[in-house]
Amino acid sequence: MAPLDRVEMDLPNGDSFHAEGNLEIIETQQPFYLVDGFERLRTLGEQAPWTGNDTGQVFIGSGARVRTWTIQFTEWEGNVTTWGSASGNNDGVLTKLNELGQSLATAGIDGTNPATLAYGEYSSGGTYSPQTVVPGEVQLPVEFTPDGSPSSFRPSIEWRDATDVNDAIHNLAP
Amino acid sequence: MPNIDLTPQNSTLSGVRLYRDSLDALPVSRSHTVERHETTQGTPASDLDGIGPADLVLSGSWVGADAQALADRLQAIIDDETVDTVSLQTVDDQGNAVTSKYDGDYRLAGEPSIEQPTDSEALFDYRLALTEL
Repeated sequence: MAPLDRVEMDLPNGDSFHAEGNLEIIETQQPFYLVDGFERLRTLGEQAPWTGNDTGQVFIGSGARVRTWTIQFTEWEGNVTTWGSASGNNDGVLTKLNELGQSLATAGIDGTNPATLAYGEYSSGGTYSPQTVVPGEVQLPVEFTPDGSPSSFRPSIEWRDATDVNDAIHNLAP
Repeated sequence: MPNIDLTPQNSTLSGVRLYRDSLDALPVSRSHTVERHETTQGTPASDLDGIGPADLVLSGSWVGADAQALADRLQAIIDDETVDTVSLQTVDDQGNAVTSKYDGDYRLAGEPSIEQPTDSEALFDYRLALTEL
């Protein structure tokens, strides 16, 4: 099946938000090595010239890594989409903005109650499963036109890769 | 870093697995049992003559649906006054025994602790100090 060409954000309170207009997705990955050569600089090349240089540092253990997806999109007046608790939602821009903000603020999202992010191959029809996530920084800016009504808004939502701790991660063995 | 199975000796209590993905660095220390520059009498019986038993600290976390049960198991071991010896066995991810320097019998030392950082039952921290027998 084809990868999902929009972003679907499903919150644990049952609300779902679909984003598709002027969509921008930035994935980041940051490793934290158990032994990080940038934190423990060694001039290996001085004492061990066969290494060829003294810029190669020692990194051991992929250790912990963090991964995020920052989603930006445009939601506009008249765009009928799944938004909050209603599919085919045609609420006004300001109402949609507040529905998103309120839902994110009150859904109680954490590792015991995670949200789900689906897009591209990370979808039910894609190669990988949708990602279990919790929100990071959320920005919901809106500009009012001179006539006093906003015609669109462009939110920015950081989603952090999260483990669903309802699963048995460390099991009872032995 | 290995997984380590901790099993109470002479007890029917269940053991616990300390998982490498959440096990902090394993500091091992040995104290000298003689004063520095002191002369020991006779021929040393072994390379460790004059060197004390290993002190090992195990600290880490349990995460997930079984975290509470794992913490309860360790608490039962700590609370059982008839248990003063535990054995450590290094295992791989499939639970097969592998050999490491941490394997052996130890005595519970210091004040073991189990901490629940939040009201969630999905995360427990532990810290155990052990002395090699």
